[in-house]
Amino acid sequence: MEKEFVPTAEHLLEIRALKKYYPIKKGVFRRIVGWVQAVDGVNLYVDQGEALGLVGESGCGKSTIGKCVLKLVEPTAGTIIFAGQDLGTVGPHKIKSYRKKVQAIFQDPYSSLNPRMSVEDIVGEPLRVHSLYPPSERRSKVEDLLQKVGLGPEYMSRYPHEFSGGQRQRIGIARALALQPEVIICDEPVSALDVSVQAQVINLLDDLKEEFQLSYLFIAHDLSVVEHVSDRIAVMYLGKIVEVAGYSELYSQPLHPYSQALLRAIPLPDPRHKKKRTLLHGEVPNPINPPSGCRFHPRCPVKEAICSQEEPELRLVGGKHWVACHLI
Amino acid sequence: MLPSAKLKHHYLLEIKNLKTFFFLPEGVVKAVDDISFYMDSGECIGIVGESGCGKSVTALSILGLIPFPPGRIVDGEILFQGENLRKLTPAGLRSIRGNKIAMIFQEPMTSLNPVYTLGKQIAEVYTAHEGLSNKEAMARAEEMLDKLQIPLPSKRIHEYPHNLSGGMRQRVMIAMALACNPELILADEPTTALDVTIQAQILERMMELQESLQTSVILITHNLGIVAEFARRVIVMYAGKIVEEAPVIPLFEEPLHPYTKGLLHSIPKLGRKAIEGKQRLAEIPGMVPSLNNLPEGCHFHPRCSQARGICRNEEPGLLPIQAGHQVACWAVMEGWE
Repeated sequence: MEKEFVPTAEHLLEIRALKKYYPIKKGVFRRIVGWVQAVDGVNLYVDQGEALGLVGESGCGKSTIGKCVLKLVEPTAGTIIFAGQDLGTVGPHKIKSYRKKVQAIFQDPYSSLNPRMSVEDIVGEPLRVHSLYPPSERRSKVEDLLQKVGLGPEYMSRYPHEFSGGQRQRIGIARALALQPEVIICDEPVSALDVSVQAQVINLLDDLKEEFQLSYLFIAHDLSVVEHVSDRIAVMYLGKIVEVAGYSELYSQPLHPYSQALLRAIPLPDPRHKKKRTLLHGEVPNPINPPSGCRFHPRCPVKEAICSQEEPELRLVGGKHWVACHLI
Repeated sequence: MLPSAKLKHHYLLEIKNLKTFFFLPEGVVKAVDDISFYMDSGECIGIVGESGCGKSVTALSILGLIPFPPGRIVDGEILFQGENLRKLTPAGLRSIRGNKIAMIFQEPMTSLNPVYTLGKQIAEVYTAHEGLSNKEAMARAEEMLDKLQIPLPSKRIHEYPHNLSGGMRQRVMIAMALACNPELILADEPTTALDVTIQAQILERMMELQESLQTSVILITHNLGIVAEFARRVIVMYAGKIVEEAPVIPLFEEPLHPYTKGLLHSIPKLGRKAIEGKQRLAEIPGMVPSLNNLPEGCHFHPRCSQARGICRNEEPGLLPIQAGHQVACWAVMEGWE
């Protein structure tokens, strides 16, 4: 069974043919001399209560997808559909209510919290902006939120610099939860944390997902973390999705040569593990001038003539397993 | 009795009771507090621990690169081939640094000089330590880049660091470190800033060269996967102390210290969810303590589920349990269940 990737309307969040090109400007007149093709034709969906993992190496465009979904950058082309509504066609008022439903947790808990605001102000700000509760009730609401992420009410009047990285990330999570969102975009939420603290935050994200039936778009470069959190995983390479599969299929039967290489490249915490690496040669090419055909072909260990000429489509190969490779 | 001094076996490197403190206005930060370990030639040992555990300061202490003030090696010996590096003059230390002991730093972006070409920076190692002429040194630099699989080395030696990607810069760093066939390489988080596929390439290449040149490596990292694959012996540090030391297989299969156990259980392991179903990760509660306000007794006790009275008051010393396996924990020493 093979067909074109057509996401259907029943998904909570859909990304269709998303493209984001950033202009490269040069000279006194800031003439546009080229485009960085950060995201180039991506289709994805996230269901209610599902965590979709998005992995890839730096510069592959995974964070750009997150920014497009959050409407922090305007996509060059393509549509983002939330609960059946196309975000490109709705007015600014609707966008504000969309932002209530889709929140974000960022990588760096040091720069994503305003150092001049107390924890109460940081977590309470979304409530104020969206005038959700009467001001008198907001304080107790903030207290509830902090409790949800494992911080006591005594922290309310403190400032971000008084907290460790893990605690700051909890504050960021409390802020994201304030508006009772349906989707949270987690952009590398644990990669800045110490190993012993990562597990605390991952467990917290897991618990909150259960409790509030949250959907996550979980963006990270660490495949073991993504696998743990996600129900399905999308692998990205140079602005394109190369494979999407359930976490166990992706681990046991990765089909795309890039997914295979990525899985093998990860050092496992098991000293008896016998390494059989097909090392990828070379480096990720420049997204300003991506290779022709399949973007992975210059590094691919099994490439054939067609790979440099024609771009492979993302095709369904069974179940929920999609792959973009000519040789599958 | 034999006249023992000359026959005595020297480890390649032996650290005895090293203490490196930083004297800051807020108080004394005991970054490395009384650690001892040794390594033989040709060995690859891993030092693991989280940020602030003292693993990088240990490496900088060996090379005499602790910024003074505020930092200072307060006590201890650093014996390299039997010679105490702390007693050397600055010139003596310079002749060892980069020649017999080399270091690879984490940040390839900041540890190369942006205003010199790559060739010149590598060649400097040869002119400084082997007295080669500039021309010979440049030829050797080119050879070294080729060994690290940098494409077009004859062109690259005339380029500047900003022309290269992060992975390529780290290769240049490794080329510099290996330039004089050092006896010991200190690799401080050598691939942390890099992508996994590049990390795999670089580690593999580094280890091939290590094997062929019989260099010893101290691999400092927070990544337990890297340690499991490349180190033969592992030292676990926490808050300036060694809490456990063991050959790699016992450390991963029968860890003894509650911190080591906690660390191993708290990392998500690739494929475990697919095979065993979703399990909650084990957490180590709390956070890494601040070094100028360390808990009394065992520094880990506030986060330890087994802590009892003695842990709060008295610091446990390292106790050998089996050959090469030592641990600093009251629960293990006194056999608590």
